[in-house]
Amino acid sequence: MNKIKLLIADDHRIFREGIQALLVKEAGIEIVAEASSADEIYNILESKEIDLVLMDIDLDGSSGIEATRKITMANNNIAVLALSMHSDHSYIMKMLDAGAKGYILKNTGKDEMIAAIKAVYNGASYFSSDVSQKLISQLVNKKRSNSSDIPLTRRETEILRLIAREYSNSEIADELFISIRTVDTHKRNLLEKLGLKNTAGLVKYAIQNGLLND
Amino acid sequence: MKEGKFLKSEPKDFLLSVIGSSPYGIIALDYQGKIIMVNSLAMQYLGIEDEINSIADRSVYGYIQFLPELESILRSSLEKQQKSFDLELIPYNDNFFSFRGRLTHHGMIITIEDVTRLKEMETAVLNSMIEGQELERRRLAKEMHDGVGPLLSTIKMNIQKIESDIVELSPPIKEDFSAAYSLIDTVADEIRYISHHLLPKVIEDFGLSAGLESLCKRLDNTSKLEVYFYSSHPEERFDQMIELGLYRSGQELINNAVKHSDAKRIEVQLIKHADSLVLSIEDDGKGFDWKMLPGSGIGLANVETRVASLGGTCSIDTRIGQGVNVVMEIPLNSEKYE
Repeated sequence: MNKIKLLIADDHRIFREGIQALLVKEAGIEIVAEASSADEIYNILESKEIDLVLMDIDLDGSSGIEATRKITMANNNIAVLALSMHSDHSYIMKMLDAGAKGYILKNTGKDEMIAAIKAVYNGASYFSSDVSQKLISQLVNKKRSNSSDIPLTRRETEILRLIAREYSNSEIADELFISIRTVDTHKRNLLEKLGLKNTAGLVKYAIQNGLLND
Repeated sequence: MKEGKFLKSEPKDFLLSVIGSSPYGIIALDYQGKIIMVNSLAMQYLGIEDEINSIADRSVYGYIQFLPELESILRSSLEKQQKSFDLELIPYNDNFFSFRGRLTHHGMIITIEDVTRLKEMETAVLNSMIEGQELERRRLAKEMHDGVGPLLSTIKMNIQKIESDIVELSPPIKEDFSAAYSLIDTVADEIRYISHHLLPKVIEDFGLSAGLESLCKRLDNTSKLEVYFYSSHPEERFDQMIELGLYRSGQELINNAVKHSDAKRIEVQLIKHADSLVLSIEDDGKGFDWKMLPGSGIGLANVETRVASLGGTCSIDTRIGQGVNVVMEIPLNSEKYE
């Protein structure tokens, strides 16, 4: 069986050496090169044959996300596995969007790291359990927010209802015990959120959405 | 005496010249709100373009409809014959004004002061103070996240290597290794937690919307509370100080709601307008009475200071049983305080 040719991209030399030490005896994996910046990665890819890039998100003076995008756009046969400190969903989503096939965290143990490398090399996806949890909650949330276009907050609904009943700003302020300026801000927020131009539009929206009925 | 004579013979002219050259805008009204007298500075501040002599006897309300707070307080003062009112730092026509009303025998006299310069200076001082603080926090966060973090990961890998180099491993020693790994993981989590609090890296990398969204999601997933987040421009980046300032203010207010409000739902919204950015935080909790606030009012004061340092305004509306509604608005044409 061919060995998996690996490139380690991380801005910390000591961390790259740690991975080297960890994987050096691993039969199926050969560490071909190391890089600390995106430019170094591109140079290596031009001269050496690489199967898989183990990619950190923080590189010297550049982002691993951009590097991932560039690599996967240009080469179908090079897989990228993200190895990062960041467990926030923004990083995970951007990295997957850029073309990474897997995402593991830096606290991952040796066995999981090897399993992830092999899975991604074989065309599958691999995520640490923390990461898949984030991905699932992201999916669930997406569904929830799709069901009702742009939901209005409790206060916004109250204000919209009063606008439709022809209350002036100061009457709304008195009714809800808030300042006139707050009413005005809520009104402008509503216009921006709903893409409407003026109070007449708000009234129309309130009527169309049955806010006057209850 | 020359002055005495002058005052005696031309009292009205003398008064008019004093009022005319006063460094404040001055308007005198009767109880119905009709203008008895006005100086040119008041007209300039309010943006009145009519001839100065032609506006006598007209109702002042026709000229202040774009200043709803002034209109409202003036109406109620004249109606209830309240002795005085003070309205500080009201934004109008790209400037900030303070309005003071005092009851007279005939009605009310209002003075208008342009406090834009004062406000700008205050903003600049606050801004540089907070900026210094943020820079220091950033340095610390970076050192922990980029320095200590990777070292810990490396230590863990080194130990893993040692473990795999040992040919035969007795079960108790294997357990010792696992214990060491989980300790390292705990320290790494701790470091990440501290550095995240010092400077949420997600804000630096992806902006305010992503930062707030991640904060809201974390709470939504880990507590019984429902935390809703909406951003009108999720990808847009803003000035770094605005992003950090609003994030920290939002964080403070959301924490308050979680800790003290007994709310079931918190609603956080970031909405960009043509020339301003609005962050609002609403909860459906028990609300509070300003007079009953204990020391924890400090958190709210911090929020107000931060918003002021960005040249913005902050209004906190609450009442027992009615939740808390905070709206912060930051101007986006930032040349003014830079």
